[in-house]
Amino acid sequence: MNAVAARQVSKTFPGGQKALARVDLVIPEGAIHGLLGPNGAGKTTLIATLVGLTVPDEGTVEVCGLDVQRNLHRVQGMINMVRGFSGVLEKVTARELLIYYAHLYNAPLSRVDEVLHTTGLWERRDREVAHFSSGWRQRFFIAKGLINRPRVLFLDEPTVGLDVDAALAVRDMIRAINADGCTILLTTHYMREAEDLCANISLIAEGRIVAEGSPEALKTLVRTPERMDPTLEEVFLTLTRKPLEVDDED
Amino acid sequence: MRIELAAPCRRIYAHAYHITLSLKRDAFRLLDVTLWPLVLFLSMGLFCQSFTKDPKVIGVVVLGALGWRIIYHFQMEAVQLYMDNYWMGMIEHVMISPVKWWEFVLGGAISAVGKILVIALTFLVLGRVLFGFTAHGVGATFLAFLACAACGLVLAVFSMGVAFLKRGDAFAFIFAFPDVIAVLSGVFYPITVFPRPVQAFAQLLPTTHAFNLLKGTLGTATGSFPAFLLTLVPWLLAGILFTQWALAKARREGKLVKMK
Repeated sequence: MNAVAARQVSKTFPGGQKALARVDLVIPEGAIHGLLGPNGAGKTTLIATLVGLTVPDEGTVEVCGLDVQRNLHRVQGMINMVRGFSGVLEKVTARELLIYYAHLYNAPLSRVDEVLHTTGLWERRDREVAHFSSGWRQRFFIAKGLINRPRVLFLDEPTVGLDVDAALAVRDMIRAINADGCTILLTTHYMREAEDLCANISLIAEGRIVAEGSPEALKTLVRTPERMDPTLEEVFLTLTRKPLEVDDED
Repeated sequence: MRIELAAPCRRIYAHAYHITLSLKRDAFRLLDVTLWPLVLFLSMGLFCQSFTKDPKVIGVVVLGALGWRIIYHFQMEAVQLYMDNYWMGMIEHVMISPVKWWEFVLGGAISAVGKILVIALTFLVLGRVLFGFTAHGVGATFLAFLACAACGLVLAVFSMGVAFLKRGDAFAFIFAFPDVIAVLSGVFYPITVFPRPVQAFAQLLPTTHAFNLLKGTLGTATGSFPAFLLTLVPWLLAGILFTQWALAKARREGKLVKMK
């Protein structure tokens, strides 16, 4: 079964800003799938659509085999999300805030201690999250993302702004979470990160998926006699800066 | 033995738990159950006492101030929680969970009950000590307070809809709602002081009838519980429809997530 299946998804926000145009995205269960694109390409809108925070104008979205719009709360119980630029409520400790989320997801309270251990936060459980460094804060959000044992975890730039050590620790956690059977959709601006973690990558530009495949397969798309071994950065720049054809039907 | 709550009950409890955490950690929020209600209570009480010792007038002040705080807290708690999460950039983490909008309202109501108990105790004790106030007809007074709470819940339902639609700008509207309705509902005076068209509109507000029930316990007005219900139910249904529409619109327009 596919963990995520978006078909012909289009989204235009009020004011005429077209965020997604006929996006197809299929992620098999158990995969780590990368979603790469420049700022404003539609990555966050696509994730918001997949998790039910917004509604597509056209197309269908299924997560864990269920239509997201028709089974919104059921789907939301099976997924979770981590963003790389979330704020935190002040004056609340990591444990207190995780208890709040455990209640929201109807997770057993014992799960709070489990995720505190899993993410290495146990020693900091009684400290205010607002006072955490960005690396520890991100660990907190990963703990929050695991609180309901999600079948699909959406990671929106989880290592943005982290130093090398913290980013490596987060990547190790992503691998471990995936090894436990959780499907992951990862957006990132770090090509090495995507190449290290993702079996398949979708490149999105101006709301359209412009290429999809394994990192190696994507490289073959831009291979030329002058550039026999392109990097993923070169793939990204070549494919996402390519002028898009105007679709007269839109 | 640990009692397992059903999922909606746990989410409702989660909201109350969260509000309690914020209250416990933020001294400024404690003013909501201490200084702010006391300022209203003492200002009104001392002003009236300087003119009259009539126990009915003092009663209207004590019960009116308390009734209004009940409405305010039942309205404000739910929205405060939503707005806290919005301002701190965490709203998507709440809205991606299986939470339903009415669970905010009921979670806020639990918190409101706690705050009201503190305020009621303060008002009743100070009312007795400073103004010689004594409550008559405890059952009828309690019923009138319940009516105020129901009005607060209706306002909370509308306010959640406004919060979904207006996000960061919602608070001005949400604060304005109860203040305007307070004037129109005749908390401390009869609505007959208004021109006829305003009186007619005030009669459509459940708050007017809730305060009539409250004033009825002092014999200064005639309260009608059927009239209260007849106005409450349509406003409640309208609030539910509005907030469902507002949430769907906010979801369509991507307002439940802070885009970069």
